[in-house]
Amino acid sequence: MEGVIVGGWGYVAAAWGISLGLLLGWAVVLNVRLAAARAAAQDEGATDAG
Amino acid sequence: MDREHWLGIAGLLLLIGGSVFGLLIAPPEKYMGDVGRILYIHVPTAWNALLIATAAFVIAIGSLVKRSPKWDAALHGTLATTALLTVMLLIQGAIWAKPTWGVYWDWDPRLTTSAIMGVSFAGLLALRASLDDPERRATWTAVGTIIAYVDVPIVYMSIKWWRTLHQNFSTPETVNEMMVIPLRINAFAMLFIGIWLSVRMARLSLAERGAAVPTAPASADPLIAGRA
Amino acid sequence: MGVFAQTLAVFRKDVLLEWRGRSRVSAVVFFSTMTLLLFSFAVGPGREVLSRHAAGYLWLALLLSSVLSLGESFRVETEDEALEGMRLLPVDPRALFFGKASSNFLLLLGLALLLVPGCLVLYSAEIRGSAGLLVASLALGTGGLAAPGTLYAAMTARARGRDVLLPLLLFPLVVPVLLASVKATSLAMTGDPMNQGPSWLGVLVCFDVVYWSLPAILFGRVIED
Repeated sequence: MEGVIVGGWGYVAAAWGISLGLLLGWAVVLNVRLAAARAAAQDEGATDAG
Repeated sequence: MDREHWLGIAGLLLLIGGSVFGLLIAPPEKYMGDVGRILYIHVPTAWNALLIATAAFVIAIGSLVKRSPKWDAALHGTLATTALLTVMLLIQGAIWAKPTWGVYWDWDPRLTTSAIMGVSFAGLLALRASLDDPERRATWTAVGTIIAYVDVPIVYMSIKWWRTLHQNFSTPETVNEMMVIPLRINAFAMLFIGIWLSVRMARLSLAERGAAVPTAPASADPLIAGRA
Repeated sequence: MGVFAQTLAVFRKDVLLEWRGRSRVSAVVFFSTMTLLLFSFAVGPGREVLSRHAAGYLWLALLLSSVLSLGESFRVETEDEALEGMRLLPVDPRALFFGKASSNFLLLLGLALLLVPGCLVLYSAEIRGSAGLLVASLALGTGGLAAPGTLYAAMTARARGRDVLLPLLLFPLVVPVLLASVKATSLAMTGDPMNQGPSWLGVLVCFDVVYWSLPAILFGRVIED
């Protein structure tokens, strides 16, 4: 390719935005589900003992 | 606080630092201009996708040998993280390709192999979801991971040969010192974040091990459904 | 009974079963022929385009049909818990794998050989290169499909959503086989002036060696309790 590609910050923003969005989204989903699973396990533990 | 959070925080800080460096401080690339900055997130993502896939392969062998729920959970965690990183790298690659190659997709050997690896690993996650018995799920996921991983270099070589008959594209090599720094920082950043995500997923997998809610009709076959 | 003898026994049993259930086999043949027709409808009747890509259509038809035939090969075992019965006998899992994979290979190779005249007719293709290259590419390619396909068929035979799981797992894996087989077959059909055929056969040999040995090692774990 000849010459320099001028500008293109839109592409940069898109790449970073989608990447961070995916990372953040997945991190949130994971931790929410983990908290729910741990809470459920605790409830079960309480009923077993109680 | 779970210990992996230290890694996660470190990874996040490194990512912020590396990205600021790459986006604002490093000079624009010779031919690609500012679009080249996408590589500061794309290359680290790609490195770690392959690295964590390799970890999944090793863990898969361990899971077959050890037959323990923790190893299976670790496998699940690394598989999920690899799939996520692969999706990310494919999107990043396509966005980078449009201004530089003119098209979103070009059958570049590395990107194409990544796409196939992504589908393979996603298929393994789908296999997991279709199996109820935890031991069988662990064994078959491990077997599938070993096979999928061994395939990666074969796929790469065959696509490379297949491609050289048509075109010859060189991927850009960054040489500038100032460009190596954000690459290295972000490489570690994505590694730490990747490990953090894998451990979280592994914990989730372990917690949900017996309580999986099937999203398809149960199999009548005791081989799949597990002994009562 | 040695592993080789067991393999032969499994192979003969499977081939006998295929022969007894040959209406199933002919269904797969009709399916693949139909696929060849569908490709020409999708692409248009232009003779030039069709004959140039005949090898590609052949292998796609073969790939799609393999999913049907591979799935069938284990469905037979699941009836009356036959697989459990086999496991209780002292059959070496490697023999089970090689026997089944060999019979699947034979079936796919037969299908491939049947599709060649179909392609020659429907796509106005010719065999301008060497027939040896053609047969070798068909044999090595179907071999590369049969072995991993047998392993995955065993895993997905009774899983929920098995019909989509088998191709989902198999197709990404056999991309190298598809690439190399199409290339080699295409060279055999359209001519191979620079003698590139052997290097593509080399890719297939590499793949076949890995994917006939690796699943054999792992097959025992796949069918164990």
